[in-house]
Amino acid sequence: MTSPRDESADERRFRLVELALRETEQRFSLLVEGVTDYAIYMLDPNGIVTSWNRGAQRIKGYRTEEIVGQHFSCFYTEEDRRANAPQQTLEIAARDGRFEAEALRVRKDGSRFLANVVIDVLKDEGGQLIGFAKITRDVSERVQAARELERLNRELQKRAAELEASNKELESFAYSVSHDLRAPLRHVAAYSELLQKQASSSLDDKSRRYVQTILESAKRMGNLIDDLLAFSRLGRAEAKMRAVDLQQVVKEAIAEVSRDTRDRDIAWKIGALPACHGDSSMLKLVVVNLVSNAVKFTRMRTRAEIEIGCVDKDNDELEVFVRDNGAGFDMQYANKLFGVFQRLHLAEQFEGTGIGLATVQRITHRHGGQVRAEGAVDQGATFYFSLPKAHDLAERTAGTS
Amino acid sequence: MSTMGRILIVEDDPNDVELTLTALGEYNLANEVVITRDGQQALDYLFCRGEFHARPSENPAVMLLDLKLPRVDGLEVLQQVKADERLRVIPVVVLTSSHEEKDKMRSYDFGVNAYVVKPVDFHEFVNAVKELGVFWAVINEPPPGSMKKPT
Repeated sequence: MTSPRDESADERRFRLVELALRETEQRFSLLVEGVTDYAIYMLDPNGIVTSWNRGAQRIKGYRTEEIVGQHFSCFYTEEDRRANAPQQTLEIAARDGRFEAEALRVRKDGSRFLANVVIDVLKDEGGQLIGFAKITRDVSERVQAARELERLNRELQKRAAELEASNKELESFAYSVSHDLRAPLRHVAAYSELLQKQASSSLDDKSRRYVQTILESAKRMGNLIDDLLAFSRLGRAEAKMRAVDLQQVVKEAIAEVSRDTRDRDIAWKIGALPACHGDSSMLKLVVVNLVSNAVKFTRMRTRAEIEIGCVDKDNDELEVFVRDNGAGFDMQYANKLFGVFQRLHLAEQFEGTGIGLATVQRITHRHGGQVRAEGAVDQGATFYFSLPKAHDLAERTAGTS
Repeated sequence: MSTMGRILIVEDDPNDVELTLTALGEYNLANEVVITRDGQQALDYLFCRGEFHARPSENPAVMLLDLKLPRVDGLEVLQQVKADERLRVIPVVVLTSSHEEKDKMRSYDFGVNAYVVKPVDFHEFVNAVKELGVFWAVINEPPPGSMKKPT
């Protein structure tokens, strides 16, 4: 009943599979042919080149018609050929089924390059060796990049060592300042004091004033050294970052400066302060510095007004400000405010070493924030510092609990 | 002060020696003071060696120890004292210019009994030395047998 032209279902399936296979094979060989980053070619069991792709031409320099039919040992260096490396390679590949190596190979023009070579054995259904598939990649660039990376790495290590050394030097410098400079200073103060006591009856007013000035200067220098040391320690101390309740920090800071505010009339205005992310003892130092500045520079006001508040900056930051109605400053010198030992007032007007705002800036920078100031002479000043917000809800609630 | 013990001062700076003695003297605490000028000399005294081989063997009531010293530094002296069976009961007060946290930590690690930073202000310095002297050489009761008090 079945006519000769009729295909059985099996036959039809076989034909379709064959078609698909041929199509796949064609596509595959096009793919292989088109690859330019890899040299992909075949060898017969004796090592004669039987196929050649574009990558092979690009990497090795031979055109297909030049190389097909040639023995593959021409890709090897003179030394390797003499050592019988090509033959051995094929033997190993035939034995193990695969051979992989990174070695020098030779281009058509005689130049050498570092190649990553993979050889796979091709066998027929009966297990008979029918040839080899070879994939070669030029890895000179990669090796060069690796060498460059290594060089940069060494450079970096050297820099890190240098940095560590200079850090150590700085530390020992701070130590010397702490120990060696303080000793003679103590002696100046102590012996002036002894002199004052010993000779007070024989000294005239002028001489007594001289001794008094020596004493005060020594004390002032002691304060400067202490402040400088505290400032340098700040740079070395590890910041313990966690959720911080700013409201609490401000409360503690105000309590700390309260002994300077006992006989003063100060109107405090403290706005809502959210939780932030930072080191609470460092942040307290920031607020103490800003608040005690505000207290100090409003001294001549019968009623001082100090406001502490917060501006939400709409991103991951918040900005805290401390505003006063005190002496203020000329905006033209605003950039000097945060420098170490920079002062805008005479010591007779407002005492201080000039380290407070430098400390504020240093701590704020360590928190990844910025400082700025606004003011006008005799119209008060506002100091701002920005901080990262509390990271998540847990931190926000932990900070305010 | 008949019940006062001997004070051992380890201090290289002659000015500091004089100032410490002056401070102790103001409160009549200076009559039993031994001064050593570096760590090596202090150890010789403590271990009755060299120039001190013939000294009476009882321990001082307190040792005021500077940290930065020629030859053997203060921390080394402290370490050796606290490692010695007989000497480790001596109260050791580090009296130094150093505010450094590292020095404080190491001193306490080695078992220092007190750590005092020499104040810049002379009044405060006199007060500090006086209180140290009164407390350790007069008020404090040493461990039995550590020092024979002069009678």
